[in-house]
Amino acid sequence: MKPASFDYHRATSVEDATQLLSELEDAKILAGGQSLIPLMNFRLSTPPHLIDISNLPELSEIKVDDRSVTVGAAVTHTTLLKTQRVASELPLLVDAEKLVAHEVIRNRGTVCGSLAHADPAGEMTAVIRVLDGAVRTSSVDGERTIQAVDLFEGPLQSSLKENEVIVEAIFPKLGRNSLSSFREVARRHGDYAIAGAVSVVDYDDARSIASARTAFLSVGPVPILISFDQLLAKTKISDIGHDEIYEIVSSQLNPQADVHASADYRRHLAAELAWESLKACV
Amino acid sequence: MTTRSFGKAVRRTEDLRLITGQGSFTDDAGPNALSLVMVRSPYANARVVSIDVSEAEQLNGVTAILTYEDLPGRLAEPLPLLIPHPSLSAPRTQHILAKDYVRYVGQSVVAIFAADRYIGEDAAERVIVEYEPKVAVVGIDGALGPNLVHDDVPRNVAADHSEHVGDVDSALAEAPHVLELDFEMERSMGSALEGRASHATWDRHSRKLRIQNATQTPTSVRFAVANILEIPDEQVEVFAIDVGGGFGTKVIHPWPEDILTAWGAMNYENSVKFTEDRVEHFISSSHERGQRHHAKVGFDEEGRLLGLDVDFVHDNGAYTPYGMIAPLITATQLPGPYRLPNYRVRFRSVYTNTVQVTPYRGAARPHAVFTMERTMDRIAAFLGIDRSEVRQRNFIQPDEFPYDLGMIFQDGRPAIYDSGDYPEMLNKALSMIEWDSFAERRSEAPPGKRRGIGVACYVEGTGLGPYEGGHVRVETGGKIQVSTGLASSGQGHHTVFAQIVADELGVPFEDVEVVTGDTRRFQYAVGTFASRAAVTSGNAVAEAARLVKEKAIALAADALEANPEDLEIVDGQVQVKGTPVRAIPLSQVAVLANPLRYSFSEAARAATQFAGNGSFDEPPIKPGEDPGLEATGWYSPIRATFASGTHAVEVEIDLATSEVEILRYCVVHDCGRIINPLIVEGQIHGGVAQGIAGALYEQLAYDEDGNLQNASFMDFLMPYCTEIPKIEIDHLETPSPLNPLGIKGAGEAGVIPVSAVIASAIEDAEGFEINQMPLFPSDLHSMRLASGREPA
Repeated sequence: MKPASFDYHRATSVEDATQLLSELEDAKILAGGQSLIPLMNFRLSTPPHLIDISNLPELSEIKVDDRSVTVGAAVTHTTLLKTQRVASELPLLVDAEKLVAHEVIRNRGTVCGSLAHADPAGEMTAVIRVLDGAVRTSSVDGERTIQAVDLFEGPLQSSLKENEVIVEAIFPKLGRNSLSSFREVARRHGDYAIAGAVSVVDYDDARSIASARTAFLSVGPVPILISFDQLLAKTKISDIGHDEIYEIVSSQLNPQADVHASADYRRHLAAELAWESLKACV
Repeated sequence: MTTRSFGKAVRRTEDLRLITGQGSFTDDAGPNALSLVMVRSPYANARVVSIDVSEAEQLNGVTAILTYEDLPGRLAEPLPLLIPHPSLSAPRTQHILAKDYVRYVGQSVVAIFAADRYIGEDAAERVIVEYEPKVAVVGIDGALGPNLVHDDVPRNVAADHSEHVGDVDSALAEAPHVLELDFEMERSMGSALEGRASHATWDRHSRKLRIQNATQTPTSVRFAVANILEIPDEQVEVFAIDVGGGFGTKVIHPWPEDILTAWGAMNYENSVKFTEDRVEHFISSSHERGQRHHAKVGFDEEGRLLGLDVDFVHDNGAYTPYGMIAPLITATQLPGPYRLPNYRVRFRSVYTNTVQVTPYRGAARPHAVFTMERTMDRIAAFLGIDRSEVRQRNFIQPDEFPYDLGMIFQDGRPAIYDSGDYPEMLNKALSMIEWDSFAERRSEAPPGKRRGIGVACYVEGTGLGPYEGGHVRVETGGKIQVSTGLASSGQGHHTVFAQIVADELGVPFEDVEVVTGDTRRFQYAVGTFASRAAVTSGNAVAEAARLVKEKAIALAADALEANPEDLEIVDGQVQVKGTPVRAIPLSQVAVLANPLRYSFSEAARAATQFAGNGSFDEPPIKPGEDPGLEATGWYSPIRATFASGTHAVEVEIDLATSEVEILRYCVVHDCGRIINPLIVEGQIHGGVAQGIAGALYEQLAYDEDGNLQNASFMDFLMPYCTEIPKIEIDHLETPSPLNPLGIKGAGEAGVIPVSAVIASAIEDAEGFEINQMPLFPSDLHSMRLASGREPA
């Protein structure tokens, strides 16, 4: 379990990083390394060059404005989790971060790294999906914004081009009439979830539901979003019935079995968790 | 009086060193050693067609690459069969490097000696091995099928063994009630934090092969290495300074890497080190636990056992280096604490194309207890009597010891229980968990939850022979040096042996220094396994301390001109009883014990030839005496001593997620006289944690091609401390009459009944049968659906 040899490059700026990325063959961006380094140790990934962006000050910021929380590519899970303004402005991020792995992993792992890794079991992939967020990328060809719905293409497959680096992730804030809830079941505390559901419910001024949606983790190749607008619009949360939610969710999900759980159990769990998380949005 | 430390919760002397990074593990040694890297088979069952190492050999930093063809002399022979048995008709052990065939994914095929592990793994990628794959035999069903693991072992049967007491057929024929039951447990493994490791150095000046090895059996590693390398034992030194857990895996020896590091050190003018990584630990060290049992039990209207017939299949993996010890333990420990006048057991130990199976903490007792305790629960359910009552009616009573099971135990000696109080133990456990008032708590379960309660009892044969020894020496500086050949892999031997010696000799605990598992200090030992260290080495060091005390008193009697019978040793002083002013420190006695020509200190002058000691009518060392205040003691038990315990658990199951939460876990434990309650409780905590792991979290998931699908801690779910509940412990102390200290083993106990007790509680909560472990939420979910008992 030792990586193949590689050259290490410490980027001096985002521009330097994108320049190196376009010049060096098969180079990979290194931020927290919590997913990449294990893959390299198993020699499942053997990049000849690593470009380290974890020390770039311009990527280490968390910006909060009226509309969103923007997280730089070098910001660790721990930093996001412990930033007071995030807790008050978009508490869903903190709820999600508490479920991300263990403290030692959160101390190094980055929010944007987990998005770039595009693991459908990652909590942040589901969060950015349910919030309809986006990532901003940079490359020698310029900058662009990729909406969450377009970012994830399959398990560990993102729509990032080979010469692109994520510079920040944008998590839109919820309105004052919106509530969110994250529920997941993992076999052990801090493990990847067997299934998870993160729900957002928007209310109108009459305290009726305007819209409701749930993003799921660990039950498909990408984070999957199900909208409950048709079922729930104009209803009260107390009108929500377990069985209808369960039925909608289980009929739309087609998870895979693995050594931890059967496909049926995963589907069942996702449906139960969707119900639990929606019910908690009161 | 010296404060006695036996029985006290003395803090472990090891801990400061270990938790401040001062430990000395094998991988800490030899930073510049050559790294041994193995190329392992990716196939479970295949013929090795060809091996091409030419490209790998070109790599900078590669010293040598070996295949089977390169192995000289005895290195080319199969590794030893450590424990032969008459019923083991077709034993097979692996070669150091695969000879023609590979029989499990992970088997060693090529050995690379490289400047470091990185280069070694680069080279391993460049070794080209051509295989001709065959159908893999996986799982017990696979073993019972048409395909073979070893072409010359028909039906894949390594051993077919039967034993019986009484007349089972008649008992079952005449029994008012007979139930037929099936129980199965899946594979797991010990997963020590430190994997296997060996660092070998050949000192060409003193012609010594020095081996630091992460082993539970240093003395035997030494003999095995010397034998295979065909060099005198005297040239081989093996020591295990700190070992990061063993759990049985590190009893097995020699591993291919043990021999290759030693041989490499003698041949490549550099020390050689092998440090197993986690993947290798999963696919090339030992597994355990996979067994399938069919039980036929006869009982009367009161639930009294009349006869039990058990037939089980043990999946021993691809090789049998440890013989059939694991299934033999299941066979003999299955009756547990119950009177079982008619009992027959038969097992077949079968080959599969998977990692070899050898004992892992608990050593096939969890399977035995699972089978017996599930059976007791079924009898209770059938008759509609309380599960505790059916147990009380069948217990061997305290006045029935010694109780002869009529079977042969794993040490080849009769299985005779020496002491215990099973009814009292169960009563204590029931009252701890508040068994009688559970109905109330069941009805108080929150919405969406179900509660259940379970209880399970077990008996564990511990402290078996053949022997252990210990050496105690009083230094002239006042320190007491203790050594045992038996090694420590985290148990706390340094603490408990010091407690024993301190008490026996009459010295402060702090003055005793213990070294374990170093063949340079103590050459004869058996090893650390079978919950035997405290019993065997404990009694041996006690004996050594008593001999030293005798010698010290004789020498002090001369010096103090007192009668030996009037002397005692208190706080390291030999003194006239009741007259502490007439005293001589043990350190000074140690000086006098070694008559000197040369003085090297003020104290030593007292032992020199003109100091006026002794009589001119006798030589300075009297006939029959030896210089030095030291002695070696031995303890060789007549047979195993049987510890016992009862666990009780209350669980709450979430009906939406099928997760099982342990609300309370209670243990009543009897390991005879307790040397150190802190250490016993630590052992129980660790054991119960491993038991919960095996019951609710861990499995080794092979696919049909024999690939282990979860060979990492990401997918092999060893629980974290967050998954382990508080464990409540109460003790019972029925001393063993078999050894002077009255102690029984405690190392494995915690793990043994956990699967049984949790299954009992889940069954109680859910109302459908639980017949196999481990049980994951996913399984429980499908079982509930299948039972038709869906959540309301």
